[in-house]
Order: sequence, then structure tokens, then C-alpha cells
Amino acid sequence: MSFLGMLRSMALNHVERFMKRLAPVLGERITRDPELLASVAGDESGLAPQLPAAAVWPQNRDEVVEVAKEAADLGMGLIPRGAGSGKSGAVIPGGHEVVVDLSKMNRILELRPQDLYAIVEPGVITEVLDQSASEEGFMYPPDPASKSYSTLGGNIATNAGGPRAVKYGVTHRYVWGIEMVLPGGDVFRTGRHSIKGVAGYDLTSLFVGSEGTLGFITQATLHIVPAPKAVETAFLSFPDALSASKGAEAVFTKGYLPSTMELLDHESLEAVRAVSPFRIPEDIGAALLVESDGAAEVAQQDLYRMCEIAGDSGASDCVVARNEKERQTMRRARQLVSSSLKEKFPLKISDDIAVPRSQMAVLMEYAQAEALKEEITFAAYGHIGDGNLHVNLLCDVDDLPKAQGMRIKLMQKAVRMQGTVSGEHGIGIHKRDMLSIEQSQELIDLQKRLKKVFDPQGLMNPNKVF
Amino acid sequence: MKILVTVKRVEDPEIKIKIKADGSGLESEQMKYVVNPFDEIAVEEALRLRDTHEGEVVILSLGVADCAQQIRTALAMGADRGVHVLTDETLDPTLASLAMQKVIEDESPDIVLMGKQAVDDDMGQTGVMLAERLGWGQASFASKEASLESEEEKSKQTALNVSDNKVTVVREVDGGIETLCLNLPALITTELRLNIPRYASLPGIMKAKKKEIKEFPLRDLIGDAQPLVEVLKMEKPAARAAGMIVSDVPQLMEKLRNEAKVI
Ligand SMILES: Cc1cc2nc3c(=O)[nH]c(=O)nc-3n(C[C@H](O)[C@H](O)[C@H](O)COP(=O)(O)OP(=O)(O)OC[C@H]3O[C@@H](n4cnc5c(N)ncnc54)[C@H](O)[C@@H]3O)c2cc1C
Repeated sequence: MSFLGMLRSMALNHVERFMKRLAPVLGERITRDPELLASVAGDESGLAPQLPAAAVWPQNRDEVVEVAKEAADLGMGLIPRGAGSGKSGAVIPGGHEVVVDLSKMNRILELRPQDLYAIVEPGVITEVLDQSASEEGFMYPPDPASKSYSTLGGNIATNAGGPRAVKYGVTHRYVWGIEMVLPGGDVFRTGRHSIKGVAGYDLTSLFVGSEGTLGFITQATLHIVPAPKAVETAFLSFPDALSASKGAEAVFTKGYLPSTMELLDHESLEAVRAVSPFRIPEDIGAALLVESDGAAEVAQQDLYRMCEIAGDSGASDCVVARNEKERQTMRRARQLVSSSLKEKFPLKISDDIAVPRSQMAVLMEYAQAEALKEEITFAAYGHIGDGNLHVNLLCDVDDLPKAQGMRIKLMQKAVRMQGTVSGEHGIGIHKRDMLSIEQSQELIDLQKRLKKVFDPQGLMNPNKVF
Repeated sequence: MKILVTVKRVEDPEIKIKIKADGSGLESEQMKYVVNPFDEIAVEEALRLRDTHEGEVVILSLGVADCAQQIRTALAMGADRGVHVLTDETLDPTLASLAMQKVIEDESPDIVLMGKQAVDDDMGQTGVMLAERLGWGQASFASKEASLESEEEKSKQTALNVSDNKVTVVREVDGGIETLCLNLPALITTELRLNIPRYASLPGIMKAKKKEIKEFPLRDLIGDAQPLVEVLKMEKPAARAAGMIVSDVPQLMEKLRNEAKVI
């Protein structure tokens, strides 16, 4: 037998032993059935899925501990998985790992509005927590466009943001503490149930955005806030994306803090037009979805004022939602951009670079110029209020090498502007080679050393991020 | 021509309502509010009339300070100014129509346009009582013959015809259409099929802030008049028991006989 063959059969043996040891604990919730494995083989990155060696669906912390123990003993790689809605390929197996799908751990354990927090299991769907909070007059602000299916565990591990982030901030602001399970089965609790706390290192924050490379999040204490009394929404039309960026900038410069400021450029509007429940006005080159919240009259006054400012800097018209139903249709139009572009351009390459907010127009102009030069169609949309732009390169097969070049150039530009290669999707494998555009080798090495402390055998989500 | 339109702040029908624990009314804490949809139609018709005959559109709203939001919405649609009768009291149709009468006597509009009802309490009495108080002719449930998809609607023609100090109003009646002619001043309440109301436009929004909203405390207008109708209690309909699927006819008969006790 060749050396490689020997390794392979050893690995196989390990999987079999792993299965045998855990079957009594997990019953039907452990499998090697390829059909079931296919359901946990990919994500929304557009990268090719890959079957893992096995998959488990633990129902509670103790089962995760058992899995982590046996995996460490047998040296098996572990991939924590939420809903698989990630865009960085962070849950795509290399082939030998065990996928640990946490979506069955989906209970809200406690909701304490009086103390401004909720304790949740990692598999709770983002929107479910927000809705439960809203029945008490509260909200859970992070609202990624995928909120109707993404999990809170996945949101924490990717530090997800959403339209409300411009006012309320991204996920990290709402994580007060976690319970973590490390490979080997050690359990730690970090954080507190108080608003403040400076005891020891902030290991909670270390796990936020860790993309499953340090350990499992098996519980989280999440901050909820009182829901605003009123929300107002406007859909502002502009002749082009550049004037929309400038309109957004003017709003911020005048000291307004909208609760949402999303951009849709011409290509995005054309893609979403057919499926949007909100009737997109004809002949517009770009749009801003703007919201304000607060006390009833204040929310309206602020929204009107922001519309006015946008009007002074190039907006041609606006539609103000008259009720909750119209507001939802406008939001839906924004949420459907990504999937409708994908429908139209199956080979789209999507990134999420971010820059300081005031540099948005500069970035937009740069992207337009590059696309023109390379003759690549592109769509730009997203969280313009966060300086976070989803640049989608809409390619033919022939365009792919050119597009890859343009992608790198855009990231380099974003970093030169003191921004980042990834505002919210994370590195995973999709941007593993681009991490060094932003971070020095020394800084990357420091992080690898840190990972060793939590995961000395290198079992947690191997070959991701670094 | 001067047109006065009443605009009521109502609970957004899309938001789940909660009844106060003591049944005295609705919980306002988590509520979102909108312009009563019938009143939006009244505002639209008023704007069309003004744009055809010149003049002004005055918006009148009664209620809490936050009603200013609904008045501003109408101003952003294009109305010219607002009157806000401030009160935290819950008004029955007698008090509401009394306060409106006082404002209208002061404003003396040619036409008062109102929604045929407000979608919160669905009383549908305020317009009728107000016409009686004013001693004016009234046309309720104003509608039009042309469909809401027609060219006539798209070109924003007014459905109410004003000439020679008279207004003609079309209304739907059982099996047909009725046309009424009223002397001005007159009061008209609107049906859903009258028009498609416009959105606030960007120029409208930009102008709305500068438009005047006059405020009067309710009791300055109506003294110590008391309501004639009092809401005693609100409650949700009892939850219905869940349905069940039976396996065969004999089981169905058995359930109907012994559980539902209907045969
Ligand atoms: C249409 C669409 C719109 C999107 N919009 C947004 C957006 O607006 N903002 C945004 O930020 N993202 C967005 N995303 C990306 C994605 O939804 C988020 O990254 C989301 O947070 C992922 O959650 P998930 O449950 O699907 O996690 P998964 O994709 O399953 O996993 C993501 C990462 O989290 C790790 N992980 C998951 N659960 C745990 C756990 N319990 N413990 C440790 N690690 C864990 C995984 O290992 C992986 O690294 C969008 C995606 C789609 C498809």
C-alpha cells in the first residue's frame, strides 16, 4: 500500500471509530450518508461544495462536548455550521472533517427585557430573536439580509451586519458573553449579564468573527434594546450611483444618523425590478433606501430633512412608505438584489469591501473606471452608510481571469483607503489569499499563535481564514 | 375654492394590535400609526379639485401631539396648511364632530372632504353628524364610474364636478350608480373607489416643513361638552379550538354526535 493510501485508510478508520463511539449518543443525528452529507456541503459563496467525512446534529451543549472530545482524541477536523448562508466558503469541508450542524440547538433560553438581554442557543434564527423581542417592545438590531434563515451562532462567528448597522452597529456590539466548547471538550463561559464589564481579557470579542476556527459557540448572551416608537422609510431616486453616494454623504455631513442607508445602483435596480414587490420607478439610475426611527414626529421630521438634503444634492424624487406594508415591500426590494443578480448572472463574483464612509464616492468612481477599462459589467449595492459596498462582477466565463484581477485591485484600493477586504462576509476560503493585502505577515502569525492556545491540534475549521 | 379635509391618525392595520389588560382600549406603546386610508383618498380628491379650480386645501386633525405627523404627511402630499386640535382624550363622534364644526365655522370652506369611516373604530358617524351640525347638504360614499385603471384616473381628473356653486357627486348604490347635486358649501365622504392617492413627492416634502400648522386645545373649542358614547370594553374574539382530520365517515358521525353534539 502506498503511503498516501495508508493515510487514507487510517483516516477512514478514524471516521468509523468516530461514528461508532458517537452513535449511542447521537443516534440518527450522526451520518455518513452522502445524500445527507450533501445538505451540509456548501454555502452561499458560489464556491463548489464538498462532502465532509461525516456530519452530526447535536441537540445540546453536552452532545457538542462529546463530539469535541472524540474528535480531538481521533484527530478529526471539526466545522461548526449554522444555516450555511455564509458567503466566504467558511463551512465548505476539505473532505476529511466532521460538520457539526448546530441548527437544532434553536431555543431562546431566556428573554429579559428588564435587563436588556436574551440568552440563546446558537441555532436560533436571527429574525426569530428579533420578533420575540419585538413582542415585548424590544429589538435585536443586527439584521443581515439573510436574517430569515441565518443563525445567531453564524452571525456571531461572522460578526454580521445589516441595514440597521449604520445606526445600531454590527453583531459584536450585541454579544455580552458566550459559552464555548473547545476541541477536547473543555467548556468555558465568557462575559456577563451586566451592561458593563472589564474583568480579564475580552475573549467574547475574540470569538466574534472567528469563523469557527477557535471553538464552538454553544450559547450566547445577546443585548436587546428598546424598539423605536416609529420608523419612517423613503426610496430616493437618483440619476446615477455617484450622485447617490454624494447624497448619502451630504446627509451624514449635515449630522443626521439614519437607521438605514442602502444603495442600489442601476444594474441592481434592473435585476430586482421584475421580482420586487415595490414598484421601482422607471428611468432612474440609482436609489437610496433611507430610514429614520425614534419618536413619531422626530422620525418623520428627520426623514423629510434627509430627503431634502438628498434633493439638494441630486435626488430626483422619492417615495415615502405610507404604512408598514409599503415599508416591507421597499426593504424586500433591497433584500432581493443579491439573489436576482445571481439569477441573471450565474457567474457573478461578489465582494464586500469597506472604506471610511466619506470615501464611498471615491471608491465608486474608481470601480466604475476599472470596470470600464476591463470591460466588465458590475453591480454595486449595499450598506453605503457603513462605507460597505457589495461590488458584484457580472462575468462570462471568458471574463473570469480579468475579473479576478479587478477584484484584487478593488481590495488593494479599499485597503489603501484605510478600509478592509471584507466588511461583513469574512475571509473563509474565498478571501484567504487576500488577507495579506490587508494584514502583515507578523500580524497573521500572531493570530495563528492565538489559535493554537484554543485549538492546539488545529482541528477547528482547518485551512480557513489563514 | 377652499377645501377642508379631515385626517385621522389610526393604528397601522399591518401591525398586530394589543388590547390593554383592563380592556379600556388599545395598547399604544408598540403601535405604529398611519393616516386613515379613507382620508388619504379625501386628501387626493381635494388636491385634484384645488389644482383644477385653484384655492387651498386645509388639513384638520384632532388628537395627540403626534398627530402632527399625519398632518405633515398630507402637507407633503401637497396640501397647503394644517389645523391641529390638540387632545389626549378619546373622542366619540359627537365630540369629534363638535370640534370640527367649530373649526369649520371659523375657516368657512366651500367643501369638507372626509373618509367615510376611520379604520380604527369603524364608527362611520362623524361625517354624518358634522353635516347635520353644520346644516349642510352631504353626499356619503363618493365614488366614480371610471375604474381605478382608467385613463381618467391616470390623468388625475377629479371625480367631483364643481360649477355654479354646486357640486355633483357619484355614488354606488345597489345595482347602479346614483348622481347627486349639492349646493355649496357641502360635505362629502369618500369611498375606496374614488381615486388612487399620490405619494408625498420630493418637492412636496421639501415644502412641507415651511407650511403652517395652527394648534388649538380641544377644550378651548368645545368647553365642557361630554361624549354621548362610551366604550365599555374591548376584547379579542375567543380563540377557536383547533380543527381535526377524521379518518372516515363513521368517525365523523361519532364526533358530530358525541363531541360537537350537533346531530
Ligand atoms: C442573500 C444573502 C444576504 C446576506 N446578507 C448579509 C448581510 O446583510 N450582512 C452580513 O453580514 N452577511 C450577510 N450574508 C452572509 C451570511 O448570511 C452571514 O454571514 C450569516 O451570519 C451566516 O450565518 P449562518 O448561520 O448561515 O452561518 P454559516 O454560513 O453556517 O457559518 C458561517 C461561519 O460561522 C461559523 N459558525 C456558525 N455557527 C457557529 C457556532 N455556533 N460556533 C462557532 N462557529 C460557528 C461557521 O464555521 C462559519 O465559519 C448574506 C448571505 C446571503 C445568502
